[in-house]
Amino acid sequence: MSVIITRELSKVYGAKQAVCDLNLAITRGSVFGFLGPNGSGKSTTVKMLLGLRSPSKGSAQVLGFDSSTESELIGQHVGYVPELGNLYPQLTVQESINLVKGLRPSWDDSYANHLLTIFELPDRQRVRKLSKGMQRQLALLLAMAPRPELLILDEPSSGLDPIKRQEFLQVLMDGVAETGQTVFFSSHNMTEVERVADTIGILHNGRLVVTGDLEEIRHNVKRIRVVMANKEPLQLQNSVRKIEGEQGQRIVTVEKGLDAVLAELRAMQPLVIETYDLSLEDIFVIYAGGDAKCAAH
Amino acid sequence: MCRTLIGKELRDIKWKLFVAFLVLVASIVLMIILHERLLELLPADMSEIPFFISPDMFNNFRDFTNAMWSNLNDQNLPQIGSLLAIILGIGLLAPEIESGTITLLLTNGISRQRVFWTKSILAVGALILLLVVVGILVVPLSSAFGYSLRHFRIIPATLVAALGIAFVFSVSLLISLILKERIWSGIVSAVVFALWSILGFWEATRVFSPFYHMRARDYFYGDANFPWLAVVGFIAATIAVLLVAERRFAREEL
Repeated sequence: MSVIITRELSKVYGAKQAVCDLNLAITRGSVFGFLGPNGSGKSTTVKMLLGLRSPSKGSAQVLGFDSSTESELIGQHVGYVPELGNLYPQLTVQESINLVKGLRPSWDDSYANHLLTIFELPDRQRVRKLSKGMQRQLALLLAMAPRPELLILDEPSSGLDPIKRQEFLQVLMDGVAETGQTVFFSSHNMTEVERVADTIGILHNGRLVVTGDLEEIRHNVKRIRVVMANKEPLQLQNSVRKIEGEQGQRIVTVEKGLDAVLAELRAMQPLVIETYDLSLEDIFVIYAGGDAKCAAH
Repeated sequence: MCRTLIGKELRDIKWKLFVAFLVLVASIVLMIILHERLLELLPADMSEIPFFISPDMFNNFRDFTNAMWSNLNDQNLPQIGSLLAIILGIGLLAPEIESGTITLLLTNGISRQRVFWTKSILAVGALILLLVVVGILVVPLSSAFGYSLRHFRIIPATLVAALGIAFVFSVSLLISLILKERIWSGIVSAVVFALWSILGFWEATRVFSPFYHMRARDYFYGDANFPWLAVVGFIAATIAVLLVAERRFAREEL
């Protein structure tokens, strides 16, 4: 069952198409890494899911609620950590906790105290005096302590040092493992997404250029290095994403049908043929490096 | 209304209200203390008063009850009250939208409508209560210094002023939701009401000035009944402007 479904979700700002015909279906219990370069439309998508911005076209359903008309209900079942702080700087840590606790009937006091201890947050300190890392930790605490069915995290660890980021992700993953929550994790940090996500979607210029199971994408997207005896351009019957290189050496990027492409290449009797696994970062560059554009509306 | 939000809002506005209360009470106490001294300074003969002091003002100085009304309802409430209303109006939602803190409320299960009306009703209620309490305090404060008022129309007149100031609040809130920036919203609101108050200078146009109605002058002097029309007008105008502001906030892209 899908907890987030978007249908042709689009957002236009003047002449700029921020999000274009986004079709997503995120299944319950998954950790979905929503990747994209800065300005690709990730935060706009997140805000549309939460009902903070209205779509120019299309629709989004979160936990069965329409994001345009039932954002209040979405808010009662979702935990949200925004890219930029949304905490009241004048409140103390404890007052911030009390505020959200008063709004969320499902608030779990013992879990909140557990997180407070793990993060070593000084409960009497004002938010404005906390370091950025502590502010992010407090935001995560406020999002997780109501034990929401769905966590939506928008660049949650941006600005954190590597140690704080590790701690942050560990707490997140522990919580998810314990409760089976669904997580929508927007980021441009490949390492952290690789660590936590089981499914991914890559957004580029507002378009979803790839989505699916991370392992499946890794399995399908490969690079093949081929060294041919002749220097003629490489012509393939099978569809490939890209052919690079010159002289005898070619790098072929494949996104599906690896076995067929390998068979075709072997039939050409190359001097060398090698298949390389790609990191998520390589895959990201392949998909987000193109010039995907929205169709004119 | 949301109890948690009420607590947070009261916390946010309490110092503004407290300072305004102190300033208004201090102005009343000062006026009471200085009343005798001012009388001594006034010339005995009206022909000796400077041209810029009208006979009404001259008489207001001489009569304690009139002097209190002149000080409070004719001057301090419209001025200090409006300033407070503008500060509360521009500080209600625009800074939260600007800083993004509003999303903490909206993504934790409160609707925009509930946020808007909880905040607005609380601010308007606190504003009216504060001003009416100040109006009532004139009686015991006067007694404490050995004066007594000839009549107590100053209290209902203060209610009219408070409702007018609630209208100033609602317009400032709407301006802040349009401009989405606190400083400019404050400047624009102040300019709008300063220009609007100019209409009160001439008899032909003063009916169009909210400040003229806020003073309830004719009622205070016994020349007219209680200004129910102004009361209903202020309440209706405040609700109308708040409804427009709520629509604006409901459509706001956060």
